[in-house]
Amino acid sequence: MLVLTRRPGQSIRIGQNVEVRVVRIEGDRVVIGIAAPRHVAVVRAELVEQVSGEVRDASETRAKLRVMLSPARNTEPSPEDPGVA
Amino acid sequence: MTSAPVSAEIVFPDGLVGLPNLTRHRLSAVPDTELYEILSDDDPAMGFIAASADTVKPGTTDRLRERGLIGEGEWVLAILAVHGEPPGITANLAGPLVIDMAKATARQLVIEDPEFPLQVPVAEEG
Repeated sequence: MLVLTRRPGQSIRIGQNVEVRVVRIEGDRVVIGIAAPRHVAVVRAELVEQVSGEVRDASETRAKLRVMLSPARNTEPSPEDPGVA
Repeated sequence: MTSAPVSAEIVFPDGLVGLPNLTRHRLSAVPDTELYEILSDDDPAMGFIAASADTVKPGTTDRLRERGLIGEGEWVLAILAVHGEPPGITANLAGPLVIDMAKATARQLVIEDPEFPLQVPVAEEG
């Protein structure tokens, strides 16, 4: 990983179209400004992890979801149903 | 809006978010519902159910198009999951699937915006 030292107000260029600027430092937090073309996704790394986890959760809960969505489950039993006492 | 397919093979050239090796999938309509099942051809254990993002939150496709995140003719699905107790169904709008049926390709976005939450409540067991 490339590691650079920057001061507030200074920036870094990534490729031709992306600029990352250190806006200010607040205690242990760094406020960063990012200028990038609209088609370049700029997201927090932890959100990527959360989306990935959500995909795995969706796969693991697919069977449960199918049961919850089953039409039979949402149908009131008929008195004429032989299975109903 | 692009019409929904009954069944189609879809390639995610970059895989799913965090799962770059899962590129080949089969998308099919779940009978008697407005839902779709997406099964991985690369990992038979991986698969999920999804709904049109516009069904989950009307206008989602238009908003993504306005932001330049999707193109004309692309179709957006939200992956559904079960969370919580009592179990509730949620839809993932932070990581929607964008499908180009004409090219049989798709990609998963990651959207950093509170308007597109990770877990939108869709239904809860009563």
